[in-house]
Amino acid sequence: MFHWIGFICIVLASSSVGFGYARAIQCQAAQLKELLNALCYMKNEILYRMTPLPELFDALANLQKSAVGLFFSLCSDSMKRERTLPISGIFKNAAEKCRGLCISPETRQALLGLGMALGRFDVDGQCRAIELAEKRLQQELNALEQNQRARCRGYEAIGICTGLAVAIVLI
Amino acid sequence: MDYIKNVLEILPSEIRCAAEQFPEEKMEEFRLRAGCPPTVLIEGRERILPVRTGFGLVTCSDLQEILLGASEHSAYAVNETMREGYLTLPGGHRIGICGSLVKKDGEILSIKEISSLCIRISREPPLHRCGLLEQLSEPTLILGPPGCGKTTLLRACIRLLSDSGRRVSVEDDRGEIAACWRGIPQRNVGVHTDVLTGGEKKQGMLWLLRTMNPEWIAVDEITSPGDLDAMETCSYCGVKLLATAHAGGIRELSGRPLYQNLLDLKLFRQLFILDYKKQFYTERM
Repeated sequence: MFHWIGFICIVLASSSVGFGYARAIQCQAAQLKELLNALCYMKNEILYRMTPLPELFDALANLQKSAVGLFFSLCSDSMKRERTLPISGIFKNAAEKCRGLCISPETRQALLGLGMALGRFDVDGQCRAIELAEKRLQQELNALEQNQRARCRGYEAIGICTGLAVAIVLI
Repeated sequence: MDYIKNVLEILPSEIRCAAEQFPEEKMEEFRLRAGCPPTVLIEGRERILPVRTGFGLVTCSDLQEILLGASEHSAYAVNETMREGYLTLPGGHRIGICGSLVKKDGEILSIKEISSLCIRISREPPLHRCGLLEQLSEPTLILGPPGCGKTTLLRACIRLLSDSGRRVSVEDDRGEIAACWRGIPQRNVGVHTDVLTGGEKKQGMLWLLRTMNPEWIAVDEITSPGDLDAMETCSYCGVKLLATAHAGGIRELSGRPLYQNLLDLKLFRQLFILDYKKQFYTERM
């Protein structure tokens, strides 16, 4: 009886790890889409209203209630608290503090790159920097979506199979 | 240090600590020049700030960082005023900028190699003048030489009229009257005052006339024939005008072609003439 309970626990634990990885990929894709929406909104606000960044980050935080929204909310709080901190530093700190934000190192790099340019130049300069970040994120999203389903199934299958294998060996 | 908190928080920590050693109410300006020690203006005299050893002299990059912080890292949002050489902080404090101008097709595009900043601390000087509101029954032109307090008197007039229930519209193209920050006037201009910023005076006055149904329109520093055209239109529509002009008196005013036109149009009924002691007297036109 205890053997079977142990067997089931091992398989469940291993499968949940596999499913967790699969969920992380889905979450990454969803957050990339939200970031792309945020960048589009940011570009429009700067182009049309020249909204200052703290106000813009507040608007983005209210617009998206997910981890991406929390990221922008942390950025806004940080800007209000410490006015001399550069945007790249603000992005870096917010990305580290933001729980639930699952972005790849490439996305993080694209955001830091945007942070280096954000707020330093005129409207055209801002738009070019945002478009560059959009392009990078879009490329990443395309790559992620291309094999998202296969990767997710792979992680799920690996999780279940590993669980079964370990359980059979141990029991 | 609450009043100048908005100024202190954009300064490097060393300068901030040094500034905190001086009484807040006496500080008039901070002067930061690249390659020089930071100074503070107190009672008309510049004093070197006793910054900690190790800070050294102010650098170009310090000035750049201060400006970035002051613009809330949103240079694009303040580019228009930066091109005119200033930036408004919350609280109505103002940073004057000096450096090397970047031009394109003869127009100022931006400013680079920032060489000095003058951070002026905004204060509302008390205006002890009984019966000023009663005098403000007719269109009024405020005259005076530079630095004698024309804008301060104009603001006081706006506030008095507005708080007495008059609808006052202010065309504040240079942001000196109301010092709006995110749409909120940082100077007290009264509760019934509408402020338009960011445009040209002529455009702005006509905009206010069309949209805000004002009883009074106030502008600072009449400088071009276009301003006169707009004022004439406003006047014919029954709006009373309140404005300032650079001139020591009516004789000096009539000596300049632009202001001669202003007198000929009879847009104003009275003058408030200020002197260097910031006192003024009234003269009928």
